This record gives sequence, structure tokens and C-alpha cells, in this order.
Amino acid sequence: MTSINEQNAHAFVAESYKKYGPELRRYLQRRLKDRQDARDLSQEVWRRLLRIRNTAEVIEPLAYIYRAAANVIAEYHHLRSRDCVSVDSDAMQYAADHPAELARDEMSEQLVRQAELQRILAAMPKTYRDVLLLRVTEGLSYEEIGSQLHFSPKTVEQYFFRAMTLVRKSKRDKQKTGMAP
Amino acid sequence: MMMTRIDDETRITQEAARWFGSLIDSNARRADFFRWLEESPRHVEEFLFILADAQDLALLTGKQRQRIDELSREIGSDASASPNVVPLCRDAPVHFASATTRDVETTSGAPPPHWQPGARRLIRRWTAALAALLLLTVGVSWWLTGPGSWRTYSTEIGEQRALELADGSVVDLNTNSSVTVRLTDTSRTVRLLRGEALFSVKHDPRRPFLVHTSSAVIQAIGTRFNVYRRDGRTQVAVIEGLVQVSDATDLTSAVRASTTPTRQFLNAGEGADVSDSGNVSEPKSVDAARAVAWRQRRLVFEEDTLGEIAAEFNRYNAAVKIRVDEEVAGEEHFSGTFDADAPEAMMQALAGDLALEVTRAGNEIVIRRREP
Repeated sequence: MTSINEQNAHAFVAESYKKYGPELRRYLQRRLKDRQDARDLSQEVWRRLLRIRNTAEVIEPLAYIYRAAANVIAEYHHLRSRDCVSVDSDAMQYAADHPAELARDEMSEQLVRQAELQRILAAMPKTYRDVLLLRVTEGLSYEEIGSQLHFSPKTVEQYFFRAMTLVRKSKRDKQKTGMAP
Repeated sequence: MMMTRIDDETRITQEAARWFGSLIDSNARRADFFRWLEESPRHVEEFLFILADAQDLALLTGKQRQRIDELSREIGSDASASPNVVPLCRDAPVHFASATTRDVETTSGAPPPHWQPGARRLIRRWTAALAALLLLTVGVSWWLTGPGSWRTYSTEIGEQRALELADGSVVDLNTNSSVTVRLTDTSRTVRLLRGEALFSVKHDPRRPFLVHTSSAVIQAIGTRFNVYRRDGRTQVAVIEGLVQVSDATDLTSAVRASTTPTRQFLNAGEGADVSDSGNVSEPKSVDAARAVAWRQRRLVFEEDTLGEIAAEFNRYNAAVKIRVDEEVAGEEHFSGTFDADAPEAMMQALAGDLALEVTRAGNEIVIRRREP
């Protein structure tokens, strides 16, 4: 039985990104731009969570919620693929003929996002940034980070969640105002 | 209103970030995590955003991370290092005097190049300062005591209490009962920890009203319903409106068998039982007046066993307890209406039954089969 804490966090997020990342990512990106997106992914995931509820049995909550979202998106695509009107056959044909270009789009999207992330991280206090990177990128525990930076684990946790909140807020604010964070 | 919305948004982001941070290391609190997710679709959404941000973070290369430090030195936000110190105006605020924030907002196109970068930077710092303040004050206080936190209300044996929630809904708590309540802009969640409560729910389609017990979830829109957690089951009775009752089935087996978890819609005058194993019974008609008679401290029995009757009285009375001999506990069926605070009255009624012997010893009333 493997759980996330047996692997490291980096491995988990990187792995899940490979598996379901692009679709979910595209959805969230659209969602940031258009809050009124008719197809509400989170509503559907939430409904499923309510229906199936014995959470004590979920061994990997992070993976579970991620997979649930990915499943909803996949089902949606499946439904749409049967709807002839919404399929752009030219685009489909193009994609089939030029797989490398699609991958390139994926890469460029990721580069744009990471450039944005770099700006956000550069603008936040260094301690926040260090905690965030050590935790997510290096996969260190709050205790390990604490002994490295000479804070209590509790303080490290505070910094972590504030830093994470800042990242999210910066992206959201940017979408709202159309300005750089 | 605007302010409330922003605060709630920030609060949810903070909560999602906190959950993500704690789940990386340990899954010990996963049950609480799922409870949090279930409170609102907004929680689910925000958590997905946090996950996506974390992915981008995890995928930063060493080179990209070095670049962050360079960037940071370029925009000059790094010097203060300590997150408790917000760099308000490390540059002398000379430029600020020559350009108000209003100027910056209204001047589009090409503002005078000599002040613009400084003013921009200042505004950016003010925004950062405000955000930090919001995080520190609003965040911390909301986290501890704000509308986003859980509040627990309880009654002692014999006590009854009516609670008016901030949304206008009313919760009547019966004897020896406990609920914990959390209201936010996007959710209304009640956990019935023990006992019985009558919910009179204010209609608010934006905020689902959910009542959880260990085995059931009851969702209401605008309605009145009674929920009673007793040994082995949760009983739901609807007085007005419509509610949905669903179970809390074992997740893995539900997934494996791809079964739809049991779920029932209940109309006014209907009720259902949810067993501790999560089975939701078919809707059955219930006497609504009887279901809420407890608010008048009346106990109404209809063909109930002596064991059930004794258990009901004992919920309300700490001073006098009724004990029923095992031999008769499950057999005898009685009907009648009694005052919850007067077990003696019931004792007298039972004493008329020739098959039973009712004796009082100290603060205990014992009911057993009369020896022939």
C-alpha cells in the first residue's frame, strides 16, 4: 500500500501532472477567464463526493480528488465527442497530422505559466518563497524546513499556507484586473 | 457585500492552501479534509486551483528557480527577508508626492516616464501590504472565530434549546443533544453529534444546508425536518418541504461495485431511517406532529416496546432512570402520550397492567414480568 507520504510530494505532483494535467489545466485556465463557465466542474465533483462518502477509505486524498476532477472532464469530452456539431473536423485532422505542434502548444503554455509563477515568487518575501519551494519542490517536511531555516514547524506551516495563498491570489487578481500582479 | 465576497474568497483560498500543506505529509486528517470539501463546490474548485499551482511549482527547474532570485533583486522586494516586515516605502516616497494613485489610475497611454515606475512600485507595495494585512488580521481572526469557524451547541439531560443561526434558520435542540455548525457565504453545514434536533431552514439556494450524522447526509433547501440519532440508526422526518437523504456508504466498495449509493427524497409527512451501516429505508409516512412533540416535552408512543419507552424517558431525566428487565424489554407494545418530565405518570399507567410489576428503588424504576 503506497501513500503519498511514502513517496515525495514532488513525485506525486509531477506524476499526476503527466497523467491528467493538461486537460484539467486547460479547464482551470478557462475558468479563471470566465467565471460563468456553464459546465461547472467543481459542482460535479462536489456532487460525486457527497454521493460517495466514506472518506476514511480514501488512502490518497490528493490523488483521489485530482482523479475525480480528471474523470469528470474526460466524461465531458466523451459526451462532446459524440455531438457532431461541436467537433471541428478540420482542427481534428490538423491535430492528427501534426502531433508535435500540439505538444509544443502544451510546452509553451507551461512556459508562460512558469514565467508568471517566477514573477509572483520573486515579489513575495524571501522566507515565504523558500518555504514554498522547499516544501513543494524538494518535498521536505515542515520539521525539516524548520530546522534548516531556524523556525518552529508551526511557523513554517504558517509561512507555507500564506505563500500558497499569495500565489493563488496573485493569479486571480491578475485575471480580475487584467494587470500584472 | 463586496467586502464579504472578497473575504470569503480569501478564506477559502487559505483553507485550501492549508489542507494542501497538511496532506502532502500525512493523510491522517483526510476525513476532516473530505468534510471540508463537502461543504461547498467552491471548496472543491479552490482546492483544484491550489493543486494546479503546486504542480507548476513542483515543475520549476533549478535554472528557473535561480532566475527567481535575480528577478527578486531586480524588483527589489527581497531586502527585508522577514515576512513579518512588509516593505512599505524603502525608496524615499518622493515620487508619490508628485503622482497620486488617482493620477495613475486615470492616466492611460503614456504617463510621464520620470515618475511612473516609482509610483507603480509603490502601489504594488501598498497592495502587497494590504494583502499581507488582510492575510494576517482577517485570515487569522476568521480562521479562529469568524463565520467560517465551527461552533458547537449542546444541551444537558432534560434541557431543550432553540438556536437562531446567523442565516435566519432555527435549530431546536432536544435533550442531551449536540450540534456543531458552520456558516459561510457558500455553505451551511451542521453536524448532529448526538441526540435530536428540529431544523427550520431559511431558503437560500446559493448555500446548501447539509446535516451530517455518522451514517447519513440530509440536504434541505427551505424546509423543516427533524433528525434523531439513536442507537444503530438515524431517523429523519420531514415536516415541511422536501429533503434529500443519502447514506455514507463505504467508498471503496461503492466504487468497486459501481453502485449508486442509496438516496431518497422525502416530502412533507414522510420519513426514513438510515442504519449505521448506511442503508436508507424506503420513505414511509410519519406523523409530523408526533415527530416534533418533543418540543412540548411530550412523548408520544405508538406500539413501542417497553425498552424504547424507557430509553426515551431516560433521555430527559437524569434524576430518575427507568430500567426494564430484558425479559420484557422487547415484547410488550404500548401506546400513549406522556409528559417527558414525569416518568412516575407512566409508571402508574403501567402498574395497571397485570402482567407487569413496577417497583421503585431509590432513583430507579424497575419494570419486570410479574411472577405468577
